[in-house]
Amino acid sequence: MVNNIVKTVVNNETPVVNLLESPRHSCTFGGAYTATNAVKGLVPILHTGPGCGWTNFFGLVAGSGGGFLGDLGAMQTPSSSLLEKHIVFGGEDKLRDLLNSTNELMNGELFVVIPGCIPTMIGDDIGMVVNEFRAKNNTPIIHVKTSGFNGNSYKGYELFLDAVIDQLLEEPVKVKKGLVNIIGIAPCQHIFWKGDLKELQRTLELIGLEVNPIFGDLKGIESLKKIPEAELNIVVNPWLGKEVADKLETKFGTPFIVQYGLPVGPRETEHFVQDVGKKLGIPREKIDQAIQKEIKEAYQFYNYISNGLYMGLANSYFGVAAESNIAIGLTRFLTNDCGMMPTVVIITDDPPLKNRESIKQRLTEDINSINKPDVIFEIDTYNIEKILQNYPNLIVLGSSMEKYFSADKLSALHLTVSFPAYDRMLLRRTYSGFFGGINLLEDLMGKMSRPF
Amino acid sequence: MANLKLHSKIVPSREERLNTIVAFGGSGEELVKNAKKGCLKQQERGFSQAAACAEMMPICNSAMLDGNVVIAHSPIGCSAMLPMISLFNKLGRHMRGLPLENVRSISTNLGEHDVVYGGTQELEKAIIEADIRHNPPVITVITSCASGIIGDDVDAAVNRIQPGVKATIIPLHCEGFRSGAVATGYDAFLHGLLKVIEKPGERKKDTLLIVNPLSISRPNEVEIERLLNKIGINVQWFPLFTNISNIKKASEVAGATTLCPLMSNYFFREFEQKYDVPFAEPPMPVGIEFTDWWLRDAAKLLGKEKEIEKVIEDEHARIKPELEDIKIQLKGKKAYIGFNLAKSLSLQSLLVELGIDTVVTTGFEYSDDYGLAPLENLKSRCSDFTVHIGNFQHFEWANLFNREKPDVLVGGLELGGWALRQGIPVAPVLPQTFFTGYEGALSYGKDIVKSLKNPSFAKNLAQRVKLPYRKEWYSENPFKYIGVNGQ
Repeated sequence: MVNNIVKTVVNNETPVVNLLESPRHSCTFGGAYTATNAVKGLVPILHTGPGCGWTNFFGLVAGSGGGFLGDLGAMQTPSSSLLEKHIVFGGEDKLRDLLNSTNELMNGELFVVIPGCIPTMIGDDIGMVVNEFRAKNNTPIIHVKTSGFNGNSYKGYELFLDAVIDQLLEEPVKVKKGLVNIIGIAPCQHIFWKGDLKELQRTLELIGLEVNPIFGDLKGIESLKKIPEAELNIVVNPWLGKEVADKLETKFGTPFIVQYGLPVGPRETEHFVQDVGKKLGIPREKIDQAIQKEIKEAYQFYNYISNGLYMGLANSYFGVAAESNIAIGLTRFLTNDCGMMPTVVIITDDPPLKNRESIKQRLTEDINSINKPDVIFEIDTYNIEKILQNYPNLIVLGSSMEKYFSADKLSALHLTVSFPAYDRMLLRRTYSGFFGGINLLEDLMGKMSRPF
Repeated sequence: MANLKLHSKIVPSREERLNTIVAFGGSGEELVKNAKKGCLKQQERGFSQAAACAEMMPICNSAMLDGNVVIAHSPIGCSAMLPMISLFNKLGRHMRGLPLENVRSISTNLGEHDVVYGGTQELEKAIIEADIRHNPPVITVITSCASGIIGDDVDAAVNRIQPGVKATIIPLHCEGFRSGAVATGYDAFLHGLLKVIEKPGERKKDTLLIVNPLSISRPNEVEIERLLNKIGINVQWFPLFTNISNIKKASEVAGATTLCPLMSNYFFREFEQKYDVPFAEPPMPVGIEFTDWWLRDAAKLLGKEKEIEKVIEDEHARIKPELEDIKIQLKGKKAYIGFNLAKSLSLQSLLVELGIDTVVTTGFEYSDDYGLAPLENLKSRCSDFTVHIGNFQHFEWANLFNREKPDVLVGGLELGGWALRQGIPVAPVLPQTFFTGYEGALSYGKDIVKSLKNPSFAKNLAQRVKLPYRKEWYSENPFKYIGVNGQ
């Protein structure tokens, strides 16, 4: 049973035990590095050992159903590649040389210095080297406060945005009416980030907004510089990015709203769009009119799949092991829109304790099912398997790591919806927005009725 | 090998042991000349890019041991590559008919507290937990930059808890900062495995142990088995995708050879000293001449010099007509070769036989042990070519691609995607490609023909992708940064 499992690390609490089997995230360095790569034209400059860049790049990119990312990823990324002698004599000179030679060699809109374990442990003064460079050169440069052991890659995403806000963005700025930023979808850790950001952007554009997804578009540094001009920040995540939005509110006075979980399918997406519209003072009727066609079309596809859904998956028990954002979105859609029954939802992105109650509420309240799922916060893969074994699921929505386990030990259908995803390719795929639920059913029914 | 300190806990780095260099750019002739005079210098670059570290090979390779649990005694990010490694593991297992399962790994997830107070307690907990959870035959412990800097005594921790743990615990000392030469990681890995290899019982007199890296996959093993079986030699593959009981019995073979002399260098010397197993380390058996060379060296280990000549003769006669066919289609083409040097030089030998000119051949590091003999061989068979030695370093590749404008890249995971981005079609040698032995020569020769016939993917991509370098860089000397400001 669940209670004889070794308790694993919890955010903001002294851990009972550190160890983690097959972790589902990397370090702050990894998170900041992939975030930097996800903005066009940025030059990540790594102040680390020789292998940190590769390890994290290929780990996080391969783990998010991708093959490559950015203009300066993997072997292209400048790295100080520190060796033993630098540990003895310090790595500042090496970084100084690297910044100068990078400037000589590369076109870049913004240099982003990202340190790993070594410089933090040997006490390199990176801030000083960065300031020196800034004083002598025109190329803008920022320094992200990462290391290998000050948190996970989700925090790395936030630290990247922190550095952008503190060191790049300037005030005062004129607010641009109708401009909104999307925050809370971390590149790579959120495996559908490319498709979801595009779809959320398209969805909000329907009601006349200009949307800045910050990551993944072609505008590059402009999308960073535009951040303070927004009329509203939209945090599409029950916890990640809230602190960033807080900071933006303090510094630039931008209000924000939080969407507690990815909006999946017409029902949740309509709520989402109306919430945003309300906050911005857009009349309800105007929004109704703008999204009417989308909803009609979405239900048309719903009609196409209805027989299959009813014959194959009616009243199915399903279990979820995914990040809170995705877990909420998929669970609500499959229960409230498809009539399935959630048995257990395992949250795998280690949200801070203070956010857990609201996540739990979204998974157990306003859920049209005869049963409410057990909500369990667990990030250790072995423990996740043990938990899943306690429930009789027909479907397991998890990461690729649950694939063979689901088939062999649970005899359940398995679909990869969370990190790491290395058994499917994800480019424009999205489960968010009006049509996102249809995409999910398409993938799920494909596993059910045509797996051969 | 006077400077080979065997049986120490920690293997020396390749730089210390073999004077391996990781920065060189120049002609093949120059490299040979300097190597023979013993004046190759260890240099660094004034600009460097993300690459591999000594920790990657042990993580990656021990993940491929059947039934193993990999413990990364490190902060959480050092094992972040495991999703990628799982892909290769899946592929390797699938091709060998092994059941598909996840790589089992546990990270000690070192945090700020451990960095200050030490992390060996965490390590002990992780090992005990791995043993309870999975009851594995073996547990490998991977060290990291962080555990190295804080000075965790991993061996002491392992010795303390080994008596209470069923699995054999193998500590692999491979701090990422220890060496710029990635192969140091191979040494650390195989040095660790030697700990579980037992004293031989009865010798299997017709069996050769063959060391094979991840990047040379099952179809190639089948070809080598086909050729050696003809003269009554059995093959035992080592060390990947095999279970621990096979590894334990590795010393029962009559001799040992390798498909990758870069990988097996340290291992063979320690293996011979400990278990008296003779070894041969010819270049990789790619193309006709190097396959002949490899087969002769392998057969000699078991005293079958005469028998192998017949096999070689038959195979030559058999494949010649088809090879001539392929050759006609490749006439006058120029290639860039990009792998580790042991593999690059062997493929270059095949390209000579296919009538392709090699303009650049790349290696991620160089040492005389596996580099000099094939380089001298090639020097006499082809016109001069550029040798690029670097722990990756994409900026130099980009410059060389642009300067030499090869018709095709003969490359793998490391360089493949980059050549495409500069409009150069790739004839990939990936973990599923068949390219060794005589049949492999034909198969891969046809691959090159296919890649050259339709370069549209590379051309399309190159028109739409922008590389990050300033345009001035492409007219500079590609090796400009070697030895400059090297700190």
